[in-house]
Amino acid sequence: MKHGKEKAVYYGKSYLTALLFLLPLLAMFLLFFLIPFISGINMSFYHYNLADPSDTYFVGFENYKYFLFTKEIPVMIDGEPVLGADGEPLMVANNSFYSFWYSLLYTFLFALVIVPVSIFLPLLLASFLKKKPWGYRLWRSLIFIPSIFAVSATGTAFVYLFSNSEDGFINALFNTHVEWLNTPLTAWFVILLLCLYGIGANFIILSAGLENVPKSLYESSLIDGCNSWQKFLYVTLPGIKYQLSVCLFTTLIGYMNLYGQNRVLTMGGPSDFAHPERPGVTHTVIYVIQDYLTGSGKFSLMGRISAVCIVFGLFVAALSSIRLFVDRDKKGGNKHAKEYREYFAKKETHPAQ
Amino acid sequence: MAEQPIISLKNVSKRYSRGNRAVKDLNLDIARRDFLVLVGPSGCGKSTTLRMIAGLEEISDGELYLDGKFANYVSPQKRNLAMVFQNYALYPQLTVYDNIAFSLKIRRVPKEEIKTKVFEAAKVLSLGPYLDRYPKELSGGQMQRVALGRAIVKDCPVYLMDEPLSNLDAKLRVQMRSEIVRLMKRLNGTCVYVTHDQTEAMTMATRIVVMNEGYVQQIGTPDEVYNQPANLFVATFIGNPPMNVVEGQIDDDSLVVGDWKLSLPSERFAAVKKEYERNHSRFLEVLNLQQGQVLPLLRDFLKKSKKGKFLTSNEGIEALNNLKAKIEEEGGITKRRYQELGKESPSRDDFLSLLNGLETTLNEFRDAALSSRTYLRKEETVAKKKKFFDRFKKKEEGKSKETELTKFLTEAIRFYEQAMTNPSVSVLVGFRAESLVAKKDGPLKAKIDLVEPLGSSNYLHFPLNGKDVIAITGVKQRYQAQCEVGFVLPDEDIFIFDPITGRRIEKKE
Amino acid sequence: MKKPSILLGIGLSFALASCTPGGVPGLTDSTEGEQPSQSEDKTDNPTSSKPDKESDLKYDQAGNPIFENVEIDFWSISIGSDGLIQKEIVDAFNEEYEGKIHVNRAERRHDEFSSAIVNTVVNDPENAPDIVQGHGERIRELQSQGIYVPLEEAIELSKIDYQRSNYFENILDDLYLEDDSGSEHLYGFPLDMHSNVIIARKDIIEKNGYEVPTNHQEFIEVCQGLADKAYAGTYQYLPTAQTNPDLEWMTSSAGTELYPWFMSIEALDDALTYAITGAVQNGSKMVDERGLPAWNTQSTIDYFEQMREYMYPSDGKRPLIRRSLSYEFISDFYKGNYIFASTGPWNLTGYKTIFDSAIGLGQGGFEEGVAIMPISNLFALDENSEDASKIVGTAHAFSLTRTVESDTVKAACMVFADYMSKQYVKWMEGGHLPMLKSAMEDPALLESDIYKNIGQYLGNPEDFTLGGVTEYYSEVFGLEMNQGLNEVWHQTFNTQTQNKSISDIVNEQYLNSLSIISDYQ
Repeated sequence: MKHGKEKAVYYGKSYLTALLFLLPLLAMFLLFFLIPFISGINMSFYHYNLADPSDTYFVGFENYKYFLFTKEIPVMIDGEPVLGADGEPLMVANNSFYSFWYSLLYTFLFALVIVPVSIFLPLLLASFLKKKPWGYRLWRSLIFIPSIFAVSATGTAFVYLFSNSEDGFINALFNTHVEWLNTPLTAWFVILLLCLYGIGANFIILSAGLENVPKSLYESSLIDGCNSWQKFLYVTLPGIKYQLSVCLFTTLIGYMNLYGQNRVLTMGGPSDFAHPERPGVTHTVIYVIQDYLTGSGKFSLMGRISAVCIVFGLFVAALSSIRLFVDRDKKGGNKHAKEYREYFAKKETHPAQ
Repeated sequence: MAEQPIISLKNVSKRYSRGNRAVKDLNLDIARRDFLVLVGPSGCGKSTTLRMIAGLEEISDGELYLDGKFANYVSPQKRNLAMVFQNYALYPQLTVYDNIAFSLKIRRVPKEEIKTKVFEAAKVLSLGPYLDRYPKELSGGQMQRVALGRAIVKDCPVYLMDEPLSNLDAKLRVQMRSEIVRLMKRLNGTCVYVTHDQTEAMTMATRIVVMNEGYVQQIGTPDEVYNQPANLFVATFIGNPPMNVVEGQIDDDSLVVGDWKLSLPSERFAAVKKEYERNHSRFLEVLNLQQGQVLPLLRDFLKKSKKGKFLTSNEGIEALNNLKAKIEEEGGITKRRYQELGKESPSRDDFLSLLNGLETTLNEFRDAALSSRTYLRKEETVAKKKKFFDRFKKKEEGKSKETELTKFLTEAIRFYEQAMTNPSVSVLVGFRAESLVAKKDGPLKAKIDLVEPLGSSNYLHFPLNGKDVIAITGVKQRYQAQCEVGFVLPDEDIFIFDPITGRRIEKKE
Repeated sequence: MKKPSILLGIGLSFALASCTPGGVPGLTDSTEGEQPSQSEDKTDNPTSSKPDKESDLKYDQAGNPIFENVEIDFWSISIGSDGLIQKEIVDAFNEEYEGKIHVNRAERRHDEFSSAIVNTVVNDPENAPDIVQGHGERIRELQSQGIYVPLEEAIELSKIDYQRSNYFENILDDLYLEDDSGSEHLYGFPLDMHSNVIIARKDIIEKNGYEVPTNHQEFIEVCQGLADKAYAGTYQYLPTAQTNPDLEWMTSSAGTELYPWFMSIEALDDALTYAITGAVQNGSKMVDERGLPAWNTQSTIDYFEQMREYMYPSDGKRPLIRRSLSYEFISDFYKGNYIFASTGPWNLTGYKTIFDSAIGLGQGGFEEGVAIMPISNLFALDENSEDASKIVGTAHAFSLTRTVESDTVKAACMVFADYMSKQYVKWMEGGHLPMLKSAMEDPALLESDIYKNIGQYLGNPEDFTLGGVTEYYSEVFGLEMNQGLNEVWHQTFNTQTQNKSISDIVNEQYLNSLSIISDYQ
């Protein structure tokens, strides 16, 4: 090497600088993500008692099997099965199993509703404000402002608004007796309303996206004869594709992790009266995890909680990875080019056609 | 013209908010199979004109006829036009094939028919191998061709092109230029083409519309525009290098330009005198109008007559008679316009249109005059940055506009008066660089200060009466800076312009 | 991170891209101490009283322990008005023991109490409390996890005068818990007992020709009678001065629907009063010896069926209870729209002030207008059953955490606990009955205003019970969790479960409780 040393110093310097700037992030990443993540995986294979370290032992995939597949469990007290009236071990529905699967179902179903709403509503507002109606700056701030408030604050206001009793503000205003937070559908509806407080971020992203759609594309589509819907379909949507996908997946991940809203508003309730083994109908996966962590006063379940977290994490990661597919760069094939060659080849051999 | 124009614009204006006008009082007929080029510097309103034809901009005033039908309020989808945009406006998510087929798909043309049309278009534009590519995989020229392809599959009678070549490099531009012309011939289509490049305009157009500051400066064939420029603006805008314009004096029987003494037929000098006299009286009329009593009186009269019965009251009749007398007294434009109404007892509406007409005349007089002699203004104007607080000074601005007009008018009148009384008359003399022929014994001597060799020819720069003048010579004769060269300038290649209005003074009157 | 970061953060941080779960309140930062090595010998041998180490506690010649600037960290579950009273007592203690013992009092909310203790004791022993004052029925949960230690040793060290027989055994017995080896020890130093009371509009009851009820039959009779009278248009009532400036008795118009019995479906205290006390008074046991729920009995079912009947009568009688989701009853109570309501005794002083001004002393004010009724007998369908007079309440008790090592601190804690338990006169202002038997004979208490006004109506201390001791308290009763007996009570009145029989509900929730208990094993 001719200038080996100089080269090393030259490049070394720039790498060192980069490293220096990255260091805080790397440290955070290690400390709060990687190490917890790995120890979480490790923990998920243990019966892990936080209160009593001597009660910690390896269980393999038991934790996973338990909440993923075990529908029924025997009633065990101090390691011994409790016998039922018939002398057989008393079997009961496995709460973990139902909690996990049903909360996952509820979370997913809710995400199916809230995600489109919290994309299209801001999109609609953004399209409207793009036309710069009177006072649009004010409207823009008004739409964004709610999302800067903490869920606990707005949620508390909502609790008073949608209080179940007849003196709740909404009930009193409309003289109704709707038990907003006690009926599954209305409870979810109120949660949805509270979630809509957070559309500000999507609104900003989509507004910025809309601004970047070339005006000439709209004009071109007009000349090509598109109506408003077609304009939206062929110009607006493709134009904000990346912003949409950012919004879509951050929103999806966000609402898969729904916790604050239902915690403040419904505390996971109301119960599913027809199926006592299932969790309250506004239980989300995070809510269930949090329930395990704090609600029980028991600290021997850390292994199982880790397992739930990891399975749920993988599920969300799988959902998010759809984005890689959506955002991939499209490459044209050669279908039309081939047809083109065939078309003229045929024409030359049969000029009469 | 026997055939009905396919596009016809009548007194079309485009006004933006705050009164800025992009296009002013435009009249234009476009015949079938015309290749009409709108050319002018940026901001001259040419794109706006095109977009008004396309329906992308509303028409503030005036009427647009497409194929003889009133079309101001026809939506762009229904105007049956094809348009090519400056940045091509290709749909990024569609392949070349789908881009070209897009408008057909929207119109629900059968699939097979689409295929045939797209393939034929692709063949014409040699896009065959690229049909499956996405726009971002294409080069500029290819994108340009796709944009053209998208226009031609529509089989429209009219193609609108908005600076379609300006994003291409010079070489490709020359190539695409001829391709577009050939394509249009082949399609038998009418083309309205916008460009700021006068070379494009000259090479492609069957007719050229030169625009500046919203006004049409000249409409004509490339030959007319080049050889008989209507005014200073056209003269300097068309042609490369631009026409040399130098101040000159008419002394007795000769035209003195710096050191040069050019002799011209005396009828041309007479034409100058005549033009100046006519302009003098016209400017006087306008000044009269601006400072006269009729306008305020007319305004007052119209304001009062808003209240219903004023016209029939004694006071009203008196005011009306007074107004009529004043018009008679003032004469000039006012009287002519009044007579043009051709009514014994004009109604209130008649007076209203009279006022509108007069006010427009006043407002536009200065603008129009200035726009045609941009050549001079360029040196006068200092770029003014619009400040935030300016918007609150609207009233003052209106006032200053008025005084500016007065100043302009009085200066112009003084100039004409001087010209008519003095033996020597100031004019602007224009001649094209290629008209100057270098000859050994050329009577017009010049000291060259710069030689620009272009390969096929040389540009010789030399100062004349304080201006930099360019002459084109062949490459056989070699020139060097600081050498003295004699030129010959034929009479008929000398253009004389009115320095105030910028109008070219015809050779024969 | 707000919680025992690494352990709990684990998978969460993986999955939670945007949502931070509401923190485990009160947990402190700690990464060390995942495996507190020193804890093992403690949990294993909580009672091995004197290891060979030398005690740091010295005694004076009289045999009393010497304290010099001992600092005690004390966590209390008493917050709000209770907390203020307690703070005064603690301040007095600190003053009295100045230079000897100083108590640093901190408050922990009810819902974070257990988890906060466990997390600090396990993860951050440095900052763990030495002594905590929690609810007696919840001690078992933490005792079974080895967080609390027996008190006998500390009591002995402190030389305080503690006799088991000095305290009401109906509660105290439940504070003696079995450890892993099966022997019984005291884990909660008794402080007080308390439960809700029922307040009634005595004036209205008497004006309408009834008497303040003392058992269930009378209670229902009065309710039924008043509801019928209101519907018939003969109900006489006395609204407050606000709508009734002259304070005249009014008569209801015919067809008036009066629901004499206010019951909030959503309030925890009401659940404790009506659901648990009700079931106990009817002879049902709450837990069995293993700590599993045992309330799935016929008497529970009968009781809840009867309650449902009062709200949704099937025999054409007038409903007595209005299904209310609001906690707010007091304004309607003053207007005469409610006759009976359950409330915490700590609210009574406030109500008295309002009532005195609203009804006016001319009409007798609070004293004549309102009766305070202990809940004994009120829900027993059979007044002669042996449990009819029981009151399920809670008790405050002091517990030592396993982090206390020093003998001096242990002794100081007991001195403090003993002191606190003897301040019953002051402490009654919070609505609490003393645990000391002798207190109920102490003239200082009996002649105090607070006893005369309120204390005497809170019930007979001997009727109190904790309802049953179990380490599965949350699962059995489910007060905060919508499960267990609490959920049975909810579903009894819920409109959506009208068609479900009570026995189905009881069985479902019983199995559900077992399921949750097993789930946590």
